[in-house]
Amino acid sequence: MKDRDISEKTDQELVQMALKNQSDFLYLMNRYQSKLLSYILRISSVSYEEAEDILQDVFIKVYKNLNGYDSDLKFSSWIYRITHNEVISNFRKRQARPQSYESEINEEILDRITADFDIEHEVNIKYLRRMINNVLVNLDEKYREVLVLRFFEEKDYSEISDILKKPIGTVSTLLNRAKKYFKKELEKYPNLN
Amino acid sequence: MDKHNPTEVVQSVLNRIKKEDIKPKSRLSFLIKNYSIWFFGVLSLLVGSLAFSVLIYMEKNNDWQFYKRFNDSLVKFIFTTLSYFWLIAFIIFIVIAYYNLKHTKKGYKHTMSLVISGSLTLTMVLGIVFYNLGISKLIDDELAERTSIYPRFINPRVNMWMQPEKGMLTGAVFYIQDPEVFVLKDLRGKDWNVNYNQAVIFPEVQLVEGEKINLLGKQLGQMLFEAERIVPVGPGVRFHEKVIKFHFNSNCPERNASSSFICPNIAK
Repeated sequence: MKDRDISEKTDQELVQMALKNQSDFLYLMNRYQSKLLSYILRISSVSYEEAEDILQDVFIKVYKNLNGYDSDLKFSSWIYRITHNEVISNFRKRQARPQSYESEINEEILDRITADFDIEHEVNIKYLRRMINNVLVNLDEKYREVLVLRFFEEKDYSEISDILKKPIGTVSTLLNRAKKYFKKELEKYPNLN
Repeated sequence: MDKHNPTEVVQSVLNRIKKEDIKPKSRLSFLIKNYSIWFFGVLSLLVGSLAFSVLIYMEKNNDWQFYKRFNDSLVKFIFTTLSYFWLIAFIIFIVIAYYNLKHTKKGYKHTMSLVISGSLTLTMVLGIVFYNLGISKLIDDELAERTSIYPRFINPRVNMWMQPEKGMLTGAVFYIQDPEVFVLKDLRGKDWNVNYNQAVIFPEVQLVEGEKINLLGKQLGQMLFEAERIVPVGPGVRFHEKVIKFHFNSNCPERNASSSFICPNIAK
């Protein structure tokens, strides 16, 4: 099948294809692997190789549970949920966070963060990226995951609620607190505002 | 992200699926799981409602008007007579219902307080309905008759009335001697001569042989009691029935085959 045909298909259609033909699962994996790998790295602070291992386990789980996917939910929310759970279960298994990974912060993400947190854009971009990473890595996990989903993965409140399996009100509270902590930590850095 | 080699991850997943012959779980298994969660959630709500209905039945028939005879203060009386068995059962089933409802597909969308208050309201409303339908009495009667733990755990109040020295006695009328005295067989199988000529007899009580009653009054001698009030036995009446039937029958072998309480030889 041509790449263009595949890119025009919805997630649901790809799910149906994968259920009919095992090798078509490839298309779903191709669609999500980069996003999920970045997401794993951002929320878990595992090494790159470990993130790839987790991603493999995620895809296996997704494949095993394809029939359980409920189309009332966005497929992306469902696969992010599985990823989130897999990261947690992996974290529990290892009970250690050996190293921190620097999240890739592109221009778009940077714009969103600077706009939301009222940070002047004139600050040295490299410096700003490093600061954001430092603050993120040191933030409490529950706050980091909502910030990552909101600002890095561009998920709305309802999607975050579906991914984390928390009520929207709780997500909103968590996000507000996370933003407050994030800003407080950012302000500790000189030459920011 | 330059280290990222997507093809390798995807390829190794596909290889693993083939090598380990991994197949998607059947749709049926997900349906069974979802329906089971709902089934046990609803079942817990129903059982919780039944527990609540029996709790109402027990508390409503808690002999509130005589609390001073049992305890010095109302608070102490409430704590000593509370139906902990049903209260704990009610709480346990609410927790199970909450757990199941939270684990339904969309259960996470609702806050803990909403799910708990919703479950509580529903359980209480259903409990009141069950109580009004008389189901709570049926449950109490069945448990009183069929379980050995009834007087110890389910309704310890049945033993509270067995304190003649404090002016409380419970049992069944064994036979009526004359218009002033009847013989009462208590829960331990002992016979008491009860003087009742001054007693207030509650309208629910029919003073006939075999009638299960509670007495408030004074212990006058070793097996002599003066009744001031004769009140019906509330929850646990079937337990009385079971125990007293046993004692009646042991005193009256002719009646073993019969379900009647009346012992013709003694009554005469």
